[in-house]
Amino acid sequence: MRNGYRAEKPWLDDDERVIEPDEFTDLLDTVYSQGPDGEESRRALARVEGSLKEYGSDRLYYDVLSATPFGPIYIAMSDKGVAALGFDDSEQDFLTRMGRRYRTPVERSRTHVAQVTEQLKDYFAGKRDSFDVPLDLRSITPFQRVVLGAIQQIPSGETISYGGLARRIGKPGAARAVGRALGSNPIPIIIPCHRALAADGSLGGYSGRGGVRTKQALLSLEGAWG
Amino acid sequence: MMTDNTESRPVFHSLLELHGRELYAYLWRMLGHREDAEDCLQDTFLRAFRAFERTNADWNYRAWLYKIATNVARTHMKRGRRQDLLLESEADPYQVNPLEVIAHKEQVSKVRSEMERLSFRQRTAIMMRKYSDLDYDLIAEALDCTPETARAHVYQGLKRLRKRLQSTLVAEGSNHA
Repeated sequence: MRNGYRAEKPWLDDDERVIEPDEFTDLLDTVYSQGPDGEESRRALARVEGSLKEYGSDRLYYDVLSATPFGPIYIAMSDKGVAALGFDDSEQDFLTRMGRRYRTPVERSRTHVAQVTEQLKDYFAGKRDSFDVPLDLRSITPFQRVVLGAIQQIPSGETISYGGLARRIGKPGAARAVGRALGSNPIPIIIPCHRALAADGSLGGYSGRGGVRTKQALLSLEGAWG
Repeated sequence: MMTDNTESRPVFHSLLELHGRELYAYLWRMLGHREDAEDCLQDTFLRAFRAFERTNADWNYRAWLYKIATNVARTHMKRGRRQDLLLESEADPYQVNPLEVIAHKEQVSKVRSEMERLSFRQRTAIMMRKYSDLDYDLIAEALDCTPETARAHVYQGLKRLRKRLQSTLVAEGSNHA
C-alpha cells in the first residue's frame, strides 16, 4: 500500500499563503506526495540500525584523564565497554599501542568515555571504591580472563597473595602464571590487579607508571596499606 | 550496570527514530529507486554518526540531517544511477483501463524528468518545502544559503516546472474532455 495523496497538505505561494490547487499542483502531488510504504521504511531503518551497530563495534574511543595522582591516564572504550586503561608516556604511545592491539580506528571522544572518567575521578577523590562499567576483554587469553575475574572478587580495602589467587582459581601451583596474567592486565585500577601481593605481604610488582609506588598509593587510597 | 557506554548514542539513536523515516521518504522521492534510497539513507546516518561528535546541542539536527542526505544524494547521482523504478510502481488501482495506466506512467515519467532538469538546488528545495514540510529557515540551513535564496529556489523551480509541464497539463485536460 502506498500512502494516499496528501490532499490535506495545502499548497502555499511564495508568501506562504494557501493557494487553490490546480492541474499543475495536482500533477506534482500525484507523482510526489506518495512516499515509501511502511514496510519499506522499516526495512530501510533496520538496515541503518544494523550498520550503525557494526560500525560502532569496530571502533575505539579514547580520552585522557589528566588530573590524577599518577599523571595522565588514557582510557579506551569500545561499543562493549572499557577496553584499556593506560599509563603510557604519551598520547601517541597509547594510540600506537591501541592500534597494534585492536587493529581498529581509535578516535578521541570525551562523551563516549565520560562515564568512565567520572568514575575514575570519584575513585581518586575517595568517593567510590568500585567501578560500575562494562568491560571489553576481547584482547586477553582465557587464562587471563579467569585470573582477572578472580581479582575482581577482592573488594576494596582487602588484598590477596598471588598464591592465594592461584588457589582460588583451582591452580595452586600457578602463582607465577597468575602474577604474569595480572601484570598484563589491560585495564588496571578498574580491574584491581594492585590488590594482589607477594606471599610475604610485600608489594610484589606493578607494571603501571611509577611501579610499586603507584601500587602502594592505590592500596593506601583503599585503606589497605599503611 | 552502566546502561549505556556511549553517552552520545541515545541522542544519536533518537535522531534515527525521529527523522529516519522522513529522510528515507525524501531520498526515495529524490532518487526514484528504493535500493538507491536505502543505500543513501545508510550512508547519511553513518556520515552523521561520524560527525556527531563535532555537533553542538543547539544545532537543528533535522536540517543538519537533510543537509547530509542531500549531499549523499548528489554524490550518488553523479556516480550514475539505476533506472528510475518508481516508474514501474503500481499505478492507481482504480485506473483499471490499460490505456489510462500507460497514460499515468507517461505522465509520471514526464514530471520526474522535468523535475530532474531543474537545478539540483531548486529540486531539493521544492522537495523539502512541499513534500518534507521544512520551512525556509531549515531549508536554508540544509542548503547553506539564506532563507530568501531558499524561497527563490522553490519559487523559480516551480515556475519553470509549471511552464515546462504545460503541454502535459493540456494533454491531460483533453483526456478528460
